[in-house]
Amino acid sequence: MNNKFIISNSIRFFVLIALQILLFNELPFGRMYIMIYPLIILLLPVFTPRIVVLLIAFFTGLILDWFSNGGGLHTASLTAVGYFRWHILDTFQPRSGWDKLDVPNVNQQGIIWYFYYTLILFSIHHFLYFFLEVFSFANFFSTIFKTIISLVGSLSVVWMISLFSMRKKKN
Amino acid sequence: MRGIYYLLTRFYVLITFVFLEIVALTLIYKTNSYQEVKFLNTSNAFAGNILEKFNSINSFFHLGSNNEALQEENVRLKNLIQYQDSYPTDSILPTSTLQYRFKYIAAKVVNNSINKSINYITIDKGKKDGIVKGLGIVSSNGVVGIITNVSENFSLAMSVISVKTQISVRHQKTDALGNLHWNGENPFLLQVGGLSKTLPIKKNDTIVTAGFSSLFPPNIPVAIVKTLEPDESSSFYRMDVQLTNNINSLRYIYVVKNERKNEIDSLEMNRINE
Repeated sequence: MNNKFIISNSIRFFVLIALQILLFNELPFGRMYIMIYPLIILLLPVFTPRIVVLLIAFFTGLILDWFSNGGGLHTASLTAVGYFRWHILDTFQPRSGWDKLDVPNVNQQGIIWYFYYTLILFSIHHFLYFFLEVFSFANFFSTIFKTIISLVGSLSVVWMISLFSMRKKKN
Repeated sequence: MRGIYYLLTRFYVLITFVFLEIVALTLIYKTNSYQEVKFLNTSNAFAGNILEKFNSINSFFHLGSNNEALQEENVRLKNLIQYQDSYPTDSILPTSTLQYRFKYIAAKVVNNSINKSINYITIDKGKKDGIVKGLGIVSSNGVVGIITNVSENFSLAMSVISVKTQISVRHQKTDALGNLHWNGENPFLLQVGGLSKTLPIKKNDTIVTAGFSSLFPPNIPVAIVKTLEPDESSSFYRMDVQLTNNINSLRYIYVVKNERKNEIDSLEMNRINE
């Protein structure tokens, strides 16, 4: 069972990073910057040790910075996602608590739960990314605007991906 | 001692988190305070090669539009040759003495973005091909950016769509000088500052390179004035301009090498030192 988790998570890791670097980084949308790679951290099994989640987040961020000349932005924002993930999971745990093999995805936790989970963690990520990018609160509203439209773009893609993965399960 | 041990076992995740964030923030701070990406970047051979492989597949689908763009440029250059030939042989072209200082190195765009506040373009020519830090990059119809990092086979350029880039430009009709920069908001609209309110500038006027910096040859079209209003708090226009080239769909670019850059730079340094 453990092996299966490692393989599926590694495949997801490479696919999402490739999609991010080769496709979403080069889209000509201007202010909208679609970032789907936080999904790598969000979909790790619930009982992945917190320190491991944190380190995976940090190194994933470094890889993204390396391939998209981010200069530390992806690292800083994704590490924060890696840290706060546990707090969100803790707050939103099912009534009976988390089970050993639980994965926080749309198939196991349902659409509404997944909606809030992705919304909160992607908001943390995008907010940090865009405010660290300008490195100040100057032009606050224009940065917020950028954050929000990018969030809408990223979450649309993320929910689309999870809808497809849901259908696959049913068949 | 036991207290410290207790703290470590209790809060080791938080402590690691704070440590990693400090590392990341230091990286951001360093990149913000230099004109280059100091650490990991795509001019690196590993990243460059991967992006180039993908780009070669990708460029296959753009062959048609690339051909068209190159053909358009050919036509433009052919017309230019005709125009220059039509001068009587004993007359001196006023621009020729200026233009022959510049040498062009053709390169392919490997990676490109417009969705950050500092955007970089990776190209497939490096130290090996004579590229050094600080050279300008142009495309067939406009200005693209300035080289910041050079490795053996790749280099990285900060695109004009970056909050840190400033290029001296000139309003073509009046010859007035200004500077082109970007406020970080809409990547399709850049700003030109330093043009006085008294000048007769109109919408759709052309902005060209000034040619004062040793980076770009003079009189390359850069942008077209889109919106224009006098700034009440200063004596300048507030102006949004649209670049003449589409940075995002760039495939082929030229690195501009100024043969006399060292001479100019050392002369200017001397003047400052005196």
